[in-house]
Amino acid sequence: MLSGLKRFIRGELAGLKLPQMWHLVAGAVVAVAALFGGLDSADAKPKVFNVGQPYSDGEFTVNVTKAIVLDDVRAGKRVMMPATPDHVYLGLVSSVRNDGPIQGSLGGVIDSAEFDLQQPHKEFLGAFRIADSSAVVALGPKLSEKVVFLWKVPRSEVAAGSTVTLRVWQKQLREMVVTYGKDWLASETVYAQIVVPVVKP
Amino acid sequence: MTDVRAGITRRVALPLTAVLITAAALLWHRLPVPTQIYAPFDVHGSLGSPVRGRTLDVTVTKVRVAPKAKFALGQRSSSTVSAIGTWLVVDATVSALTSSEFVTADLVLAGNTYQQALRAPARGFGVRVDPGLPQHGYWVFDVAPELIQPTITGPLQVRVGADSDGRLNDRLVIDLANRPLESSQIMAIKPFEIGPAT
Repeated sequence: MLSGLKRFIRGELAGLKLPQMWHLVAGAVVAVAALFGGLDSADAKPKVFNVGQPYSDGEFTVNVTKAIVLDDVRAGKRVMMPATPDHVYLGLVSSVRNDGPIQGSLGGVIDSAEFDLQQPHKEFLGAFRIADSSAVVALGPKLSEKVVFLWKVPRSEVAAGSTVTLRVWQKQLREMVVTYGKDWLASETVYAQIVVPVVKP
Repeated sequence: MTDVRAGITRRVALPLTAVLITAAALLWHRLPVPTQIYAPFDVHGSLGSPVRGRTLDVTVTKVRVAPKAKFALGQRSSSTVSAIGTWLVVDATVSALTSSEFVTADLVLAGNTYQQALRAPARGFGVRVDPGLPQHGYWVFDVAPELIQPTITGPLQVRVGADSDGRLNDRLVIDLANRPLESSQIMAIKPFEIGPAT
């Protein structure tokens, strides 16, 4: 039985042409690469989530309330960001909860923002606490907070009545390779997308 | 003889290669990672008693918890800041043993690691701790209230080291759960002091 099977495989192999042999070799290479974790799953379709619907990227759970457009940004009577003729401020109001075991960055000078605004021209200004308008650079584990993510955008590109599209990249807690420690790394291919109508505050 | 050997080699080569590649793959997935290879050397201790490592001597005197904290900024000015969760303040005395050190600390609470709160308006210790000049100050953390109230869930430790990532250096791991936390609605936080214990 076994020798019969062997003879059958031998016969099949002997009957292969050169290009077919290469397919076999390629198959073996792919199988070995998969064993060492060298293959990524390809998921071409982004996930979609909506206003008022919680979404987890692995690190944070976000729940977007609305997007607002502002001429200037005020905290009480204090003007935090002044009005300019060419630009408006786009604010994304969302709750954020850090589900992970380490501190997570909401986007500061070095890190990219939690929300990736799909607009050609924009400047990210930071995340601010709604309760007291102080900047929230990072959120500790298991803490949740309602914040507004702020961008400066050209007046001609964003207005009340239009919509904005934002991406949230999937994140994975990984061992750093170049530097030392563990941190959240954003995927380069997997993200979820939300389309938010822009309203006046 | 050579025929027999060639036969054995032919029969064994493929399964042996498959076994070796599988074993290599298994080993590859179980290799130690940098945070294990370069892990700091932990020196354990607990709240109330001095803990001495190679570079630092630290005594944690108190752990306080409150949703609001009034940070003294100078002689007359202060700033009251409310936490996102709740403030957890670790009061301690830190001495450098042999050379000037940049002291860092983080907090482990129920499997979560908290960095010092960025929203605190004042520094709990000087930039540097110099030998012979102990500092009496504090570390402030913004932690999730459900992890400490009504009871602490899991271990509560402050980990103190003498550089930013602690690779292959000593690290003091001080257990804080041996006494109940001092809880209030608002706590006053004095500026740090330099000098011998008073």
